[in-house]
Amino acid sequence: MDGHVARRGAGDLRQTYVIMKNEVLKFVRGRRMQIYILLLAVVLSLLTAVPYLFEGHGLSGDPEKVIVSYLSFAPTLVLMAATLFASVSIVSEYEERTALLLFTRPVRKRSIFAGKFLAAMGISVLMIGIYYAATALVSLAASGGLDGNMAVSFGLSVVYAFATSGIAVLISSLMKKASTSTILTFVALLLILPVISQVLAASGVDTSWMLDRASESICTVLPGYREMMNQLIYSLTGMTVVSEPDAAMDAAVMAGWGAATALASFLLFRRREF
Amino acid sequence: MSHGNPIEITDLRKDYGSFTAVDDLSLSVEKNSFTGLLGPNGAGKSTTLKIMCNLMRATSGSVRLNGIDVADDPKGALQDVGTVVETPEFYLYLTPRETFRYVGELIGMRREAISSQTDEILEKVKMKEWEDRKLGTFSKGMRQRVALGQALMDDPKIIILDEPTSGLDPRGMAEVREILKNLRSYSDDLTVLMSSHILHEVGDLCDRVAIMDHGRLLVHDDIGIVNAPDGVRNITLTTLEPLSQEELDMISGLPDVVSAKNNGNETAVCLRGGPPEQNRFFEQVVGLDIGAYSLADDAGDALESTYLRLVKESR
Repeated sequence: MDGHVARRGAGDLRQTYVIMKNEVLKFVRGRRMQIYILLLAVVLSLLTAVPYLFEGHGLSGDPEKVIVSYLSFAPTLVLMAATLFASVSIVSEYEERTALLLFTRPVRKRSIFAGKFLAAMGISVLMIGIYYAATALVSLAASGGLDGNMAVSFGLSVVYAFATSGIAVLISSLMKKASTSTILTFVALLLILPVISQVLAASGVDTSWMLDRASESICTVLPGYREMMNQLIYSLTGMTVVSEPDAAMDAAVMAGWGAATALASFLLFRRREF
Repeated sequence: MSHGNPIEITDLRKDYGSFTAVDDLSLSVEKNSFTGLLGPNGAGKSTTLKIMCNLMRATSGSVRLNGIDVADDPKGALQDVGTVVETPEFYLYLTPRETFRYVGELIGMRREAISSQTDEILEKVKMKEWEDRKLGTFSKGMRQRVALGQALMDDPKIIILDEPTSGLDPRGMAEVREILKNLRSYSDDLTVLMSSHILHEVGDLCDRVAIMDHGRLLVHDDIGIVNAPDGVRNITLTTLEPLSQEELDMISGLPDVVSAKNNGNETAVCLRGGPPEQNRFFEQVVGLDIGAYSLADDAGDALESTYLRLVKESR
């Protein structure tokens, strides 16, 4: 055999790339990606078809309104991506016993972690990117224009994907079953964090550092969204409460959540035994 | 303990709270040996192998593979090591060819080397026919053959096997055993450490044996010496017709023969010495023209009795 002679040694970055490539293949050939693509297709179809079917007039001719109607679902889609992709990254190696193949190879755990995290996040960003691209296409087709704040909203969605992936991987590092990790990630992002924010806010605590509050800027960065929400709230309470967000600050908060949870999950993963 | 061997375990200890799974184990596995690691359930075999493969951390002590400490530098220590720990599961969305490519890329092999070696290994583990079928459709025996195949990527100098035939049906066991038997013909620089519950398997495949219980090493030596600590081994000679008393006396009178007793067509011979003496005995028996057609070393039975005795004594 000539394999030994031909060995070139694998650097950490190269191994990270190989693991990331395999993870992406796992998603591409797996059901979770199919489910997510189906979800995107359903959301896009409903948002496009419902105005024609039930409201008669079809999509608005105002690009701001078109974009708001689509992007108001962006945070939920980011959350769903983290739930489906990142929540199984680590736990599946233990549950499916593939760790016995991967972890016994000369690969540092940081390369394994980085490869898995980047793959989960990369797929999430790709999916969200497709959703934003579809939104832009619909807006161009229906109203002939775009909202310049879309790019900022997309940037914030990417940072939110980093934060939610961090939380999902953290839960994945602690759990024994992938299904438990997926459910817990979904519940944590959709319910537990907002409940904590609400309780803190009711107690007079500043909640601008909470992830769910910071993620609101994905939508509130769009002037059309702020106008729509303020009209709604004014009709109910006589007040307008949605103001222009500090997008940089919110991005920093989300990045902080992502960095902290990713670091914590790496430390847990590094210590975890089979 | 001799130093410079490919596998050096020194004072290894693994505690789970008050339970000690591995108790100051020291074991040095000789270069180019095929060593069987035996022990009852809970003896600490799997824990030891998992520490060796960086799946667990030791409480104290060290494991050095090719001179590199696994705890200090797992990447360096595992660089030249192929492993099959328990029955690993695979990425079921991959085919055997893709699995070997993934492992090859992980360990830094060049694309062309991966390609050529994958073809060779698929032949060796008899998976060529299924090279492009997804692993999710395979039986346990087929997956274990793929597991052995991936462990062979890049011609490792050490192969660590943890109960490689566990859970397989008789056919699967036989197929895996055949691959294991051929392992050393693939390379003249290969050290194998294999844990097993199956004594006949160890007797058949291994030239060295280490027996553990309660996390401690009870014995580690050549399988012939373990089988025959007093230098006497049991051999069964089978003849076409039962031996006459005169023929039995001739056998008893041969050099190194301690005793010979016949039972029908089979004669139980106690022979002093190792393989060279056994070879000489074989040649002499053929020359006696007594209708001998089979000479079997009762290594499996002897190993079983030695194993049971040692485990009983350790309790």
